Amino acid sequence: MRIAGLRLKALDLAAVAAALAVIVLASVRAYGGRSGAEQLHLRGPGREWVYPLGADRTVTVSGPLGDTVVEIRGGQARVLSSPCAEKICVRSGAIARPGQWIACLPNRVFLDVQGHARRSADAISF
Amino acid sequence: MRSASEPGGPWERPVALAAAVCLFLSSIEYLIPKPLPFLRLGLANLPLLVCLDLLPAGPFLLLLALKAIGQGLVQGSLFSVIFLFSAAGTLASGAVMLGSRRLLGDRISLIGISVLGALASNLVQLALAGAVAFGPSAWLIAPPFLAVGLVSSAVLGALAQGYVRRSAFLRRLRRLQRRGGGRTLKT
Repeated sequence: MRIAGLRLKALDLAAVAAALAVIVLASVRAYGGRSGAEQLHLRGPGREWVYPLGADRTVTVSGPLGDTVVEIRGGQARVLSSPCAEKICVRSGAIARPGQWIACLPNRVFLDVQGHARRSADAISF
Repeated sequence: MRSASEPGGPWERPVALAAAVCLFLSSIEYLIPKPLPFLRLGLANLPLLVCLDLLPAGPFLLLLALKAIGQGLVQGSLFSVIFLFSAAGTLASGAVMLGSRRLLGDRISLIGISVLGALASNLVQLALAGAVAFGPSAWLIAPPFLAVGLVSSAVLGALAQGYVRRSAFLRRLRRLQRRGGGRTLKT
């Protein structure tokens, strides 16, 4: 094979192919298949925080009624305590998958999980 | 290979000349504006490719070191972390170029060798950038970085191959080398 008067040898093409393979691998690694990187978006009055769901921590958000305590543990997020009356946010339990959310309207706190949604069914019946 | 009259051995002059050309090409490369920092041509690698079949391993490694230092001088990065990156890249590509020539011989041309060398250099620099400076997000830039490296290294390899084939200077050098066992390599 000749290009511009230079003879390309088989191993030259192999080297180019190897480089292309590495580029494709790097692209897949860089831009695709990152379903494990869910983030917790936490919104209080006028502010927003983003936390990785993978790292355990406890966060306190202050709202008009007082402090809402959010706990991230084991890849899940829950509202530990809230100054509101109904405690719907506390009873909502834990969220982990992208798209799930918890809201505390009285204290104006909203948390939801964002990330690449893993394709899974909500429910399966037979 | 050392001779009494030349303290640096018979390869001192060719290595010095090639290193000087590296230095010159580094400054040319530095002159050319880059739209993005990773869009490099790698012009300074041309002398390395040309010298690959000319120099024994030892002097070639010396040339690698001189090229890295010269590049650091021109870019002003000699005493910064960037110099570690570029020196590691140069060493890696040099080792891969030497190794692939030794292993594959004439079955690969300077084009393939250049592509492999650039790949090694870029991968080492990405790994270093990931380990030292930017964390795993350094790999986000990997695909365009490697793609640019592939194209520029193939072009540089073709240039080097064409030069090695046609250069009257190299032909004369090789003739001298054969006749005098390296002793008369006056440049």
